[in-house]
Amino acid sequence: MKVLRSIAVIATLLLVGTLSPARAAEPPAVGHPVPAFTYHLLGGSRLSPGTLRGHPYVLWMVATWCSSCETGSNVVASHIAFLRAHGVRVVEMQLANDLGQPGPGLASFQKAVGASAKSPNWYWGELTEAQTAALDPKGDMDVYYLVDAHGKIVATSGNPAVTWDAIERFATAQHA
Amino acid sequence: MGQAFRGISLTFTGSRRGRAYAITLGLGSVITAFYLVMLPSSAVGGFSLIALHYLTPPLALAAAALGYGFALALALNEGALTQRSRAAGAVGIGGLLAAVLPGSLCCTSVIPSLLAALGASVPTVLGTTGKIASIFAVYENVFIAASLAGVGLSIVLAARTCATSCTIPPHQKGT
Repeated sequence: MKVLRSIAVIATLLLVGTLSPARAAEPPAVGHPVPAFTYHLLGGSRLSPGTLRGHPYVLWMVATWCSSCETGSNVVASHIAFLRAHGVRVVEMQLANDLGQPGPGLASFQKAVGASAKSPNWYWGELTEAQTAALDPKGDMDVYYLVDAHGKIVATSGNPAVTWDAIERFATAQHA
Repeated sequence: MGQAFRGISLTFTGSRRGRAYAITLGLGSVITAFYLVMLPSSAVGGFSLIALHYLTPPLALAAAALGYGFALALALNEGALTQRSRAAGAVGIGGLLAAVLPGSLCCTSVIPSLLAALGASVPTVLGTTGKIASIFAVYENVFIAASLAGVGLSIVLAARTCATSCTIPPHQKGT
């Protein structure tokens, strides 16, 4: 009986929560322009919207304690030359404060992937809290936007280690 | 410990040994196959066959130990004639569930979705998700070790119960 009561309480909380205003926060949708932010990069430089304009790119948001994010970095590293050849840039951004639990930092991901991290089409940085709230209001990690040369979101997905095919198709289509 | 070995011996030599082998090998293989994908799935952010690319020998051994270990505990419990160990079942299932947590809760949208469903605001979700989800990433090996301990304990509990319950008590023989 106690178990049934606990299930009922949890189900009620979930139902009430589903109807709450917090669910109204939605990330930018496919077909809409991605917010034109200036990003803070590792090493202190900045990446302005003007630098990205005219280039398709993958805007990827990670937490540095997240093992699938690290795996994804390795997968992207093994294909970064392909993306460069197709004119696609990768903007890998650490979510603000690693979603509340600081991890080892994005520099550790860079170190793990080795020389590929220095590819000129791969940018590494950290989102501010405001940028995180705008781009990832749901608090998901290891998610990305595929953005075309006009700054419009073509697709959203996550886990490049699993969805690399989608990124490859995007790069091929943008290059055609 | 001797009692546990006696319980295992009784189960696999007694009249219901065919059933015991079927449960241990059949169910054990199914559960092992599941964990061969589940255990490395935290590396790819959820249950996916691609996780097999990230399967390491220690994880493969852990998957086999969980799968065949739990099935063995179940076979021992099934072999008991007079009483079964409910504790063995509970500890074994707890062990299996603990091993699922890192792969399903770290690096997936489950935690932030749950927080949002409970009515948490966006800043709360963004400031709390990492605190919870990172536990499953950072302590993944601890969860797997705890799972193995749980399954191991369930085998011992079931085997000890079986040692006294897998044979018909002398005073009941011939009645």
